[in-house]
Amino acid sequence: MLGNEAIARGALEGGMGLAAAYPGTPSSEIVESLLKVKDKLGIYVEWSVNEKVAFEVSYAAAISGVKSLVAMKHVGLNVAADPLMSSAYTGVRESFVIVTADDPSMWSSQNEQDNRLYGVHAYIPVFEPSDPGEAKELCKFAFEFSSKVRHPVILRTTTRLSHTRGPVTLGAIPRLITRGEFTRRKEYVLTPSNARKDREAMLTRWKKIMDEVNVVPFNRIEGDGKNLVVASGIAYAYVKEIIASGKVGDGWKILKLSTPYPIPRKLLLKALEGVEKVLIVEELEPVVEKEVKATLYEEGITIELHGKDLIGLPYEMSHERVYSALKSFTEGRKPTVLATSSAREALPVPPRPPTFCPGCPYRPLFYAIRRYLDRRKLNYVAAGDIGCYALAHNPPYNLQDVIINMGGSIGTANGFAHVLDSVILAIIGDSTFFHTGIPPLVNAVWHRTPMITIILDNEITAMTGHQPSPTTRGADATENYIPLESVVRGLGVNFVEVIDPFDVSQVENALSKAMEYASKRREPAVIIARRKCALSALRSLRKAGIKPPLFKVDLSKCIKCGMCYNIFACPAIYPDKEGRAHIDPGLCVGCGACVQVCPVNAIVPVDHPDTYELQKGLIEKFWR
Amino acid sequence: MALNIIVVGVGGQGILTLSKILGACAVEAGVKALVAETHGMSQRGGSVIVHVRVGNDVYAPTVPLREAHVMVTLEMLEGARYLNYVNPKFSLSVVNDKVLRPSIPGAKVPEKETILKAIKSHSALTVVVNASEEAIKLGNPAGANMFMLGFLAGLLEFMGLPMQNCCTDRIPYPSTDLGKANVAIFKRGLVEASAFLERIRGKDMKLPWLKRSFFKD
Repeated sequence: MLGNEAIARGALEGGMGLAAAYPGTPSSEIVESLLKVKDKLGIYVEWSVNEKVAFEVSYAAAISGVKSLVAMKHVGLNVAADPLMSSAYTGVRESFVIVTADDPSMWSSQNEQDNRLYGVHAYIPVFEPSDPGEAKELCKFAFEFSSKVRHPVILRTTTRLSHTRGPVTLGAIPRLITRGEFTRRKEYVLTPSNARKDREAMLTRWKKIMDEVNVVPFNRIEGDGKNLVVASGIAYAYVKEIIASGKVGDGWKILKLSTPYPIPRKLLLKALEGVEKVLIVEELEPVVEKEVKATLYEEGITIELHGKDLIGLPYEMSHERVYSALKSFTEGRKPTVLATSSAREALPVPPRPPTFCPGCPYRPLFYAIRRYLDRRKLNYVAAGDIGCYALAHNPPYNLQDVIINMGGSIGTANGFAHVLDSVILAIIGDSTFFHTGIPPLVNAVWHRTPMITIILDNEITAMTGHQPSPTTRGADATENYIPLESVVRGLGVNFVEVIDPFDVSQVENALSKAMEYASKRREPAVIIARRKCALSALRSLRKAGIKPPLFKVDLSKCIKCGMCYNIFACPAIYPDKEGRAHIDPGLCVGCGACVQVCPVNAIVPVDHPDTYELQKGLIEKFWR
Repeated sequence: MALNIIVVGVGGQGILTLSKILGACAVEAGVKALVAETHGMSQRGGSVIVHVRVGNDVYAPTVPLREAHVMVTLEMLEGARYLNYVNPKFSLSVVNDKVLRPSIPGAKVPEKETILKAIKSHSALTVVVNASEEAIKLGNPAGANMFMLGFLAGLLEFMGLPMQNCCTDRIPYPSTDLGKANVAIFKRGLVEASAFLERIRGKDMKLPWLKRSFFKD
């Protein structure tokens, strides 16, 4: 079972009645797996519009007596930080488990922030499992713990745990309570006078929590020896394996932690008995290290202690780092391996960054925008956002100059427009627009900011694995379709044009008109480029049993210009040694977008033109 | 003992599906297995590596550098990219005879022979298989992953873990033509593995771990 699936299972075994989330790698599969069983179990599960809303949905259930879970990727908790802080003040009536999936090494993220620090900041205990099997048990336990102390609990997972499959022993799922009762209490109303009382009550609860973590069964002492290793979360798995292998000799005692904050102080003191020196192994920030150091100072204990000095700070844990740290620790020398972002390659091979899929509507769109800007030699800034389209930052499109966070494109465009004389573009996807793109667009309307926002509407949250968004049509009868153009017009934008990104001339026309409008009227213009994600279009074609048409290059016409494989850059098109283009039938999805790119019309359907016209008519509706 | 496998290739080649079935069937055969995947961004035509670790004393999810017993590569450039996981003393590299050019402007791709030479010099033994070609012949152009699953299942069966039935039960789209093609491709991979085991029988191929009692030791 995948670590994330194990967390979902643990939540059900813990009695969860409601879950909400916004998708984000590496967290998405938690709520995805709960959605699969929601009808069978009668629980409420939703993809919310963003993490803050998901948090509030879940929190409301918990203060109404329904055990709940909210899940998000690490940076999602930044969006939900406001209610996070308040939830610790008010406490909860029933279990409230906040799952944060951190991404050490930044496999799919803009940073590798350590969300255990949110526990420190907000006075919320943090639980951290070491493998998928334990993730299930610990999640279940987190529900019990939260219910017992009437306080939210953070369950922190990481990429290597969320996306690792391992054996999980299933337990029983109790009767799930899905209806609650809300009792009016001053605790929930954080006006200053109430908040002060809440603050004191929270500190009282915190004392109890500090005590309770000493008896959490997932914290334990293993082995005996003069060297103590304190290992938290997945770091324990590496420490355990290397010590068990005998490669670093014996005489090791391990304090395995599943509560990195607050640490079990009594258990730590017990582990320190008979120990000569201590090594703390944890991924990312020295959260446990600082807590251990503070405890030692308060207890008046002086002992040799190592941590980040030997294990290094950034990036995920590895055998090499742990081995080197354990060796240096016993031999008293400098570590040979500290954290590195990537290993050296044996043969210099060209990089293979992720790219737009064959058939992706964004490829012709960015091709057209690039061509438009280049031909007119326009001075521009393209503010980008989080989603598949971030890949347009790479060559040949080079069309995202700033990507910082969800919704950041329209936000930063607001600023650029007031200090630069360039054409200001904001590029944002449909799901990201609903997530955090609306307030900055309102800001632009309000302040008459001349900028062009291009909303890429593929009608799904694509990058994270095709979760529905408000623009998904007919996914579920319980959900509404919200057309972007009516939202944008409703916000007061007067220039709104909906275009097909597959039509390069349509894209160019819309850009011309939008540019004129923005500069003459000094107001924001919005272009909505709508076409389905190729992966979802292909999935429905496969379901319908329709084979899409294939394309080939007429080699007698090909002039080796490279437009199709270097400038349009579809992965299905590759050059031979002479530079002539070929189309890989295993990769071509028959979208036909490349046809208009060839200056000599050398790209043609494999089948007879008449057959192709028939096929085209048949498949078009799956793409639109 | 732990058997360390890395499965590498290009996002979209079905590496996650292959690894998921392999791990699940090892667990079903009674041995602990951890499969560490990468999702999200890396899946969009990018470079992909999945770590599969089989054995009851496995705790950590990733394979240590230079400690992969087997590297299976669905694409040759990606095989070359992850050579720091293989060891010339004991690693078996199973290479699909396929090069995919990264779709970046002006990408310079080394000659196939150069790539293969690098893989061979880093591995104890290298086997080149026509996984993509066989998959096309048997009806699923994107089925090279099923061929490699068959090959790995063949190795694990030899090493004492029953895999075959579990794998065929888990092959995607079972009732469709595609599923039937997948099963045929999987079986083709199994045959390739037996032929390989037959070829090296009794010879010293520097693969000391490749023995029937591996998971019993």
